[in-house]
Amino acid sequence: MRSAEKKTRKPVSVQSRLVLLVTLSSLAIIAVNILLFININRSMEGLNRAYATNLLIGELSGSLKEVESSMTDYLNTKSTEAIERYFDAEQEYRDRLAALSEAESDRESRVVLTDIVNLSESWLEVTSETIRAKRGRVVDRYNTTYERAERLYGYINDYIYSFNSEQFAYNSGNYVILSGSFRRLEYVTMFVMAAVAFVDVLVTLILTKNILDPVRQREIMMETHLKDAELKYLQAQVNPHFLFNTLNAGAQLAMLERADKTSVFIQNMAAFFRYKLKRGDSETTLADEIGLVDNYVYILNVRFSGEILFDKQIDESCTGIPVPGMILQPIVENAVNYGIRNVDHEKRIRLEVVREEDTVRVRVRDNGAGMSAERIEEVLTGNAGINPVMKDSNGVGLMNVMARMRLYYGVEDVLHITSPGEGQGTMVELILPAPREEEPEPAGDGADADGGKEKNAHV
Amino acid sequence: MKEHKVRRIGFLIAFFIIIAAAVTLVAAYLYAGTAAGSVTERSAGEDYRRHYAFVCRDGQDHLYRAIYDAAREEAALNNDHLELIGDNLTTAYTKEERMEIAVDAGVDGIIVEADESTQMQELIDRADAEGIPVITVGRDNTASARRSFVGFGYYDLGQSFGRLILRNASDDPKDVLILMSADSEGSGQNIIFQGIRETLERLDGSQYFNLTTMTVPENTAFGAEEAISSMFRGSDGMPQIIVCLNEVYTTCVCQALVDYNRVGETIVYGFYENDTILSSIEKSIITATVTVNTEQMGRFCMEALEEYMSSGYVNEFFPADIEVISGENVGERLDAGTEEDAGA
Repeated sequence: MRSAEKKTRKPVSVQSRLVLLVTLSSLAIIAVNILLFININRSMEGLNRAYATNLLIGELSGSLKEVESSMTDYLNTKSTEAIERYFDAEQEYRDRLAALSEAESDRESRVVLTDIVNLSESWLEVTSETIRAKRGRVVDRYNTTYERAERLYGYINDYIYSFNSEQFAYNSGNYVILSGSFRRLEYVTMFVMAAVAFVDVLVTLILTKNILDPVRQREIMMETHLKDAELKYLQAQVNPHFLFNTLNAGAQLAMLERADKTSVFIQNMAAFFRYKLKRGDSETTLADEIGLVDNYVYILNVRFSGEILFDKQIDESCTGIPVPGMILQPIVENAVNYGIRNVDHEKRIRLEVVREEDTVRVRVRDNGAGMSAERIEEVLTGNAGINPVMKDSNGVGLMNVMARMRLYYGVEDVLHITSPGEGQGTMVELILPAPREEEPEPAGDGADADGGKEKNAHV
Repeated sequence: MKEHKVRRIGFLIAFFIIIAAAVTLVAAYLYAGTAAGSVTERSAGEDYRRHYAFVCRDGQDHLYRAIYDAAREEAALNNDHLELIGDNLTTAYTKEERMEIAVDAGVDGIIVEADESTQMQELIDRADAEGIPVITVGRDNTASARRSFVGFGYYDLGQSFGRLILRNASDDPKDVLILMSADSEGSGQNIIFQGIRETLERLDGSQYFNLTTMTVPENTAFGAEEAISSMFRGSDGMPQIIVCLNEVYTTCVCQALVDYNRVGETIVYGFYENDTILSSIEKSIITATVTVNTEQMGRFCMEALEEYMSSGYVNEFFPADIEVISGENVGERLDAGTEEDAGA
């Protein structure tokens, strides 16, 4: 049954939802960036194409110099090496010219490129003629053509330089635009990130609110506090099983030896420790809580020679109501430790359970040291600075009781402390919601089920 | 309950996807529209039919710049490209070098501000021999194999100046100083002078005017301005009438009249038009200017080339109109100029 439930819950687990959410937001951010980068790349490709022409022109310029220098070298030396260099350079220059003729460009640039190509062809013709004249030793001829070749070389160089400068100026303009564009891209990306992150947080909040609803949160906190109380209880009692068994053995021994008082004492002790063992979960009844207080006071009275006068006024119709475990005994323990322990007069503790309208009031009164209003405020706000685990205390403090009651009942107003002043006793009042009239009231284990009748007891 | 939950989660995820997609699209659109889109890439322009060259001594000279601009617009109508040779080059080449570039660049036709030099004649002949038709503009080289000359009649120009001078006839003879360029060869100055003189004689006005000429030395940079300024500074009496035969002299005289406080003392007739000259006429600093219709000259140049390319024949001479701009019609010119600037 439980495994089947788990199976149905699995598809909507917290992990799956969060993974889905993170994946979606990541995908959105990646998509934005891809779109923006496509745009940038397109711009960059445009610039690259423009620079490609510059590159071709640069290479052409290199070849141009090589043709010119090899021709001059040949005219100077008539060496085989120079003529070979010239032919190689000429071929390379022609190849580069062909590449440049095919380069994509706008109309203005194409006119200039055409001029460069045509001037170059004229120049190559003149250089070839010069070389031929040199080979034929027609000195006048090659002197004339060389001069013309040099003039043309100057024109071509000037064209190339001007073309490059113009392209550079144009590309610089685009660089400024692109630079601004990148700046805007930063803002756009930041905006997108912020927007996606905002929606992300919003959806996460809604989803997790859905996951951790208040009821479940309350249950978790209840469990936490109860565990805390249990831990302290167990720390204080070391090993209730062992103690309980040992005390039972002691009670039987006392009975055998006819030590009746000892037997009753040990039985009370055993009952006190059994309480925790009997209770399998955190919920118990008010009757059980009262029974535990009876055991506790009996034990204390044996310890303090019966000087605590404990009496009860219980509305039995209320004893069956469910309450969080371990809420009453710590109150009585506080009344003993802080109230009556060090007073010289008669030490009284009175436990009252009364129904008032739709609440059940459980009051623990003592005639001990009393408390000032400031002290009460400190205790209720948790600023009292009292060691919650006293030397001989069960260690479950007032704050723990209040916290568990608030979580259990879902209301803030669960405990009052009143005192007429120092030396005039204290009353601690627990406020429990009363059971509805039509509900059948289960009888408590440790309380007499007299139904509606008040009962006074004195231990 | 569980179904409701699942539906709610589905709704949230759908909401997230829609928001993320919307943000993505808006951001991409904004970026593409403002940033990347503004990077101007040079597109492969449409091909041109013919590539012509325009060669002149100085591409910044107002007269020839105006003729080039008009010719270029005319060429564009036929999807031809007219290149002002040397305009974007770093070296200031001479007119002859520019002509050589045009010929070696193998253009389809050349329009050149020629002169009567032998070197220019050789270049024009070489171009013609290589199958490149040459049209001379403004200044001619009559001995060359140029196909046509687009210009204004220098004699007509002289007649216009003569008629303007004659308006000032009185019993008291007046001195008329004609500022001429040292580079007289081929510039038609002598023909202009002849035109002035003969017009005055023909209209019986020669006895009222004493014509003299002054050559403005241009052997140093900015020499014209220095020479004209020194004439205004000099102690000799100023002539009653000054005639300038080019745009630079006219502009320099306009400025000198103001600088040396001589406005009203001398009647000035200028040549061609620019903002300074037109503004000076409007303010009565100078009296009038004789100008040529550059738009017509530019159009004639392209028509001559086109005619030759299509038929192999073309008229030898295309005369452009000569206009006189004086205080009466300068307003129209200034308005036209303002409209052009606004249109640009």
